[in-house]
Amino acid sequence: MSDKKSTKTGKIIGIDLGTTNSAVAVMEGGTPKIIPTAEGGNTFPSIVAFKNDEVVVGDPAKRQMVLNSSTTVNSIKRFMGRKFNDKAVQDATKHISYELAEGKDGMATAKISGKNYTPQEVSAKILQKAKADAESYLGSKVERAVITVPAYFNDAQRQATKQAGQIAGLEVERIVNEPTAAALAYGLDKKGNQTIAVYDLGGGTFDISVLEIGEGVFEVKSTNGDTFLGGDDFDNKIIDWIIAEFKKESGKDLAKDPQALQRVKDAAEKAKIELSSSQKTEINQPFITQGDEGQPLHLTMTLTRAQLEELTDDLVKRSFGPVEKAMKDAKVKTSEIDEVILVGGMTRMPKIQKEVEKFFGKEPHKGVNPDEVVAIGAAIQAGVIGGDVSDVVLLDVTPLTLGLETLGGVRTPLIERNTTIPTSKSQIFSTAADNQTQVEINVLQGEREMAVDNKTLGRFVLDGIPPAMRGTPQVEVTFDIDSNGILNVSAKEKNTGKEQKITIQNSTNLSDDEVEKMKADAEKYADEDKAKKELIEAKNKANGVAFELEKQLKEYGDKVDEEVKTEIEENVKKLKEMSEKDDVTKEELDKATEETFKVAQKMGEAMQKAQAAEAAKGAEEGEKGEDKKEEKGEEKEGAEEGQVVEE
Amino acid sequence: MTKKTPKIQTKHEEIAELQHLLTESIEREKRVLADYQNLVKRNQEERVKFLQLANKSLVETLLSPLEHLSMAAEQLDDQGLNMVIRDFWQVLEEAGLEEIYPKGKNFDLETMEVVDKEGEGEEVTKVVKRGYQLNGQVIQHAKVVVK
Repeated sequence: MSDKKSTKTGKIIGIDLGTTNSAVAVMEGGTPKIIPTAEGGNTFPSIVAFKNDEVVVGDPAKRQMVLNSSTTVNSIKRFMGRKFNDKAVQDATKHISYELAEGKDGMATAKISGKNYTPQEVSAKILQKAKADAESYLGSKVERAVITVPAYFNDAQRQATKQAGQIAGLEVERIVNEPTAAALAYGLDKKGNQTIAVYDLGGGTFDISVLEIGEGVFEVKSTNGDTFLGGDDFDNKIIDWIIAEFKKESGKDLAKDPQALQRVKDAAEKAKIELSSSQKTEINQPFITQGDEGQPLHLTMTLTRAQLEELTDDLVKRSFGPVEKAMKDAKVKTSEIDEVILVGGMTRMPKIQKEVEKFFGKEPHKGVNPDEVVAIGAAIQAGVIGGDVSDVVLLDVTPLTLGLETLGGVRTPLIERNTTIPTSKSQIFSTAADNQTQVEINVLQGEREMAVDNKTLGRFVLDGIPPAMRGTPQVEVTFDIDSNGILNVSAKEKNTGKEQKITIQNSTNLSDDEVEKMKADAEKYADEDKAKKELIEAKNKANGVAFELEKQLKEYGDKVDEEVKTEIEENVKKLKEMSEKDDVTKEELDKATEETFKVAQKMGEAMQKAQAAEAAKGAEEGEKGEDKKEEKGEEKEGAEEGQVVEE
Repeated sequence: MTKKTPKIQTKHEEIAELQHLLTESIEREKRVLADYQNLVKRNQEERVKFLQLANKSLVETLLSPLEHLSMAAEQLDDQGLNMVIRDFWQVLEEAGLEEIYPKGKNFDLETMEVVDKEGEGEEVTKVVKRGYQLNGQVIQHAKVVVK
């Protein structure tokens, strides 16, 4: 909450200080990352154990909780910034095994071994672990943090959270609402004015918040919830069901046998997780207990997703009471909710996702791990404060395709839309006509196939290309967009090295409406554009064939019969005329090109014949030469033999 | 001179602004580089860990059937079955798996979890779920009852 610029440097971490579990995240290389705990998990229980002078936090604290129940503090968040006599505090005492006491100014404190600990002090232990884990992960000191709190936290509760951070040696850069952090994790702050509902069903509490966001500012419209509804309630339903079913079958009560009960608890949690991805699960626990005659009894049953949904139906329904109240308080209709976000591990349950979708009439966001989404959002907020997050560099993409105009008015794309910038792309182009000494680069933006239908961002001419046959010069065109969306287009003739360039500011700076219109147009005219492009390509092909044949006729015309030569010339002329017509169709052109090819084959055949004849002639002459040599040799030999003859 | 002063002042401001931007950019560049170097270091560490615990997830899925087999052996006391379990264990030991034996010992935070207590002491009287270590790392804490 401080506006003062911090004097401390180094990374700022994001901490989700939860009632049941906590998580820490940090921006790394431009993306948020969950920091693994020293124990190897992504989250850790918000439990603190005091034993003599030793303090244990997280998983180890949870493991000894049964042994030292009166000195182990869980759910401290429920008492943060609250008076001892608050109803909420008194209600919560039923769910904890340590003693609560009235502290300074009537505030609630945890009484451990005769000493009063404020919720700030206990929370500081959790934050210290978060800090230590982050330091070990990052390999550097961590002195600043963004901490999340429930949207309903009042000023005293927020102040208490901030104090907890200070006790832990952290400068609390900002206190962020948990639903706001979740919205940040999904990047919803960048989507303009929105009304967002955040459904958060965690380990022990349920919260629903309705937020309104405009110009990057979040406003909490309403919050509601159930402070004692969470994942454990769902587990207990399955445990009770297994025990009841087993009792029906065997008459044995597994709840009375600690070993069996532990196995049932583990099996229930496993079944719950499995049923989020499959329709049914087998619960197999052999030798779970013994019968009256000492015979082994096995637990084997099948639990279907439908059964689980039936078992937990009342819990799911219970969450929608607060949801309705929150909607009423925010004075918004479900149809006015633009986005729905799911937070908390329990929201992995398909039934919950289905019910949320049914209630709001739209599919909720669920891409980010629901256990980590709040910490991720806190890290993003921390990144913004620390300067690690800069929208332009990290997140911008080209909204539309960038390309250039090529032969026949066709748009040739170079950088496709949605490419993350900065980026650069080069392609080699050539001339379209013989002795062409300049090329015009028309820089286009848009999704349409024809150049004319796209937006021209700029154009320039590269001249001084040495005269050559069409297709011979090599012009390298490079499109380069920097992180600010500035587009540099350059064209370089590779032979001479001559270069020309243009800079276009704000190539990505289009209004959403403009982008949408251009995309919609592209879709609307897709077929028409495709036909146009194909026709142009057919014309280009016809021209190319005509050009090539003319070239060959010039070179080899004397080797071809006059008749064939005339036929080819006529076809080439016809093809050229046809490709210049506006009303010609692609089919007509393709057919004419095909026919010209066939005629051209005659030239090929004639040339082959001529070559073969030449080769044969050459061969004959060669053979004759050989014969003469042989004859001479023989004569010589003969002469040698005769010695006297002729010589 | 009087005309030039505001211009010079603007230039000074411009220079100061640019210097500020440069300092910020250098700082950011250093951070990104540091991020990268840390990432490389961590990547190497994680690779070493990964290699050590490459079999972890497979071994973890085998813990439940392994425990059930042991229970069967205790109940049935069959020589053949005992041989099968010994065989099975030999393979797992080669992969680095070790069982944690807490019974009779005092509760140890590193390797155990208390699920129930029958007195005020810390001695483990029952093991309700076996614990295991893989290459020295606890992959399942032993769930115990203390007295």
